[in-house]
Amino acid sequence: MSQGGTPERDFEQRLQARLKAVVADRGAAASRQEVEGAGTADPVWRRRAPRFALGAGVAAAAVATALIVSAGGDNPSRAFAVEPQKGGGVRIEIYSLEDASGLERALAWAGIRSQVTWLPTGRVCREPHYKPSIVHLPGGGSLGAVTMGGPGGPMTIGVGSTQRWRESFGEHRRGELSDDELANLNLDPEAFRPDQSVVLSGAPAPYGGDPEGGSVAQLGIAEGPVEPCEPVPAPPNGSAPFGLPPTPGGGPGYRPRGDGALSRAAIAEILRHTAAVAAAGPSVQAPPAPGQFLYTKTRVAQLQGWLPRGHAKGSKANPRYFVPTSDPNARYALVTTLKEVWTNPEGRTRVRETLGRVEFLSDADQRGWEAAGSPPPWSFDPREHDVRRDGSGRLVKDFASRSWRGRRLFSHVSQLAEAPTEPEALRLAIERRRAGGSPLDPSPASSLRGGATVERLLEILTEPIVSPALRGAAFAALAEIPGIGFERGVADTGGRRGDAIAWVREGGFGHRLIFDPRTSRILAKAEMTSGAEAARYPGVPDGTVYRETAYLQAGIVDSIHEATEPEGDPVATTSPARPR
Amino acid sequence: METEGALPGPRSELSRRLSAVAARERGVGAEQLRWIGTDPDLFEAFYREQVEGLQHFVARRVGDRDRAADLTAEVFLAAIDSAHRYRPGRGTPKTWLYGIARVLVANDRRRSGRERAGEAGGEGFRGSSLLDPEDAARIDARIDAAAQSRRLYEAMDRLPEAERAVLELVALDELTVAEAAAAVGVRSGTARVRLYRARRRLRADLEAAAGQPIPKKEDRS
Repeated sequence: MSQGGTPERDFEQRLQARLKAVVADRGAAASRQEVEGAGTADPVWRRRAPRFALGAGVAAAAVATALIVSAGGDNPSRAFAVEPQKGGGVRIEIYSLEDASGLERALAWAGIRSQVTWLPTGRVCREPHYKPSIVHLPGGGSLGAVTMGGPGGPMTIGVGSTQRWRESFGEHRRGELSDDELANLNLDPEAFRPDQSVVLSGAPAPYGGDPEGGSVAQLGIAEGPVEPCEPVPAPPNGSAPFGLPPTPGGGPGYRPRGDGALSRAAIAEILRHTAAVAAAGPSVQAPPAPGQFLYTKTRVAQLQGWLPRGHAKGSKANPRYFVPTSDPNARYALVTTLKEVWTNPEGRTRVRETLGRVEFLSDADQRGWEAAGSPPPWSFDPREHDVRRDGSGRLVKDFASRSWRGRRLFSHVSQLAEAPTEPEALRLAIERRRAGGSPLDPSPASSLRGGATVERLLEILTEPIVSPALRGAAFAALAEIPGIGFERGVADTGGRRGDAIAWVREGGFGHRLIFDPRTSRILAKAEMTSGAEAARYPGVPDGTVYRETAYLQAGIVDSIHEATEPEGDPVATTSPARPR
Repeated sequence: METEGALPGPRSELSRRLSAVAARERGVGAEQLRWIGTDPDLFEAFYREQVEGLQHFVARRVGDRDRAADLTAEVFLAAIDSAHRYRPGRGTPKTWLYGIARVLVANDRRRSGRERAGEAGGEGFRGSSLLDPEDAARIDARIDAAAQSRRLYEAMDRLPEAERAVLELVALDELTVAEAAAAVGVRSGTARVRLYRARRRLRADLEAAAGQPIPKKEDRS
């Protein structure tokens, strides 16, 4: 069917785009709280609100009954309540950060040993006070540390079997379980080893202008004895991992919440100012005409895993040393690639990737890698036909590709040209919300919808071809979204500095967009591991950059050789990668 | 109460991304399939892997361009809808998808044209609405190329359902006997017996229709 004849792919590409949109909608709807306007309502896919939730599954119904009697409805403090959850296990709803020992008892009854500490605002436990561990769940997956935070309100912990939990997740999706009956996180007593326990600490945190309007909690898995929690002031942002230049607001323990000294109103004001700068920016470039190319140059830093001692994936002849992996033996490295893309109006591309730095977490890992012959990441295997060395000896991968948007690659330019340039209208268009439906206020950046909206707005800002008016509207729309943090003087992994928008999206990924406040130009976009994400990857500190894209150049050129070419570059002339 | 950093469900975003990368490299595995209904990246990997084979699958059974396009879209939509119910023990992602396709094609054959015309398609669009004239010629070519297969398929309609299903998957869709067994939900041994019987019956049927014996050796080209 598709013997290289690119026009043939059209139906398939269109169908792919259409189906992908369906999947994206479902993915978003699966965890969406609000009911959409009548036209798009789909009760089967509605899911509970993201909540400050801890879930745990309990083994025995008898245990659940005991809990209700002794800790649930009769609990006079109402610090928490324990109720059986449908299908087995219990659900613990925490109303206030009090009665830590009562919660410990309730968890113990449910089969989970724990240490619970409620702390004053701005305090954390001195680390390390236990050995972090991971609970491996039956049927795959694992549970490590989780960081939760947000506005005040009940926090739900459930305890039950993993299988039951997974089933209930599906039942909820199908509308068979109500929002209140589902916990977001499950603790399975059967999955805990005897030496493992839960360490939970929390403290009031600023939210919505109220210094104690919300809360933040850390849940960790301990292996062996747990020392008492010694309250210490919460550390400032840590230093950067992997020997990178220290980046204020980055590194172990970093959570991109932004500068706490700035109120929401102040952040909104800064972003509105940036919006004005953006709207007055230079005029938009037209998409490439026939014979021209859109040229973009980015530097991508990506966290990759390396399995030493021959555990690499791939054939023996063609080992792949850097593999995305959650193997507990994995060593992690931040691999930097310079990526240049020339795209013609048909969507065909020449892609040239030049391998940059490989930086390991520790010197020992670095030495281990060097002892193995400094194997390049799999995508830069010199035996691959499209991989060469440039004049400086750097590995270069040069290949032809196609943008998945196919021949309609630049049609989104016209779509963007039609996008509303009034900030709220732009946001509502992105969210596909109509007036007269559910409330139209922006969702917080930490929620699924809010996070998705922020990402779409950032996509607009990082598009190479977009009008100043639309960029201004995107900044202005960001200004109205709660939960956006702001940081000044932040550096990307390449050392370029600017101001940054920062937030944590539901799911635990921290995001940061660094821009030049004088021009509103986007310098880099980064995601960093955070909370549970970090804990799933042993040895990767919380706050580690998972992926960062630095935007170096973008413009229209007349040739796929136009741009900075390394000296003696043999690639351009031998490349199979020429778009016509 | 909003959550920052809590798990959105049983699956983290990092693991989601890593498995999307792995899926692009190595194909969508049985463990990942249940997420294709909610994860666009995984879905894309799955789609790219399967779309060509599935279109041939459909073309071998459906002689109409628009219906073939509709069905291709419907099969993927049904896969999106039911991916969360997929269990790795019940066959590979490919056999699972073809199992869905078999049911939908069979349903489609039972519906009248008018019934079909009245339907908007699962998500408010029909696959055929995405066709343009360039696609039409190409898809017609594929459908013409499959004409012989369709004749065989029609002859196979006269076989008992249980035997036809296995033969169809092995002979037309080039699944292994074990895969075909998984797709129709029987053991390999059972599938082998059904396959043998189906071939014998079909040969007799075609020989009767052609009025001459058919060479024994199977021509798979």
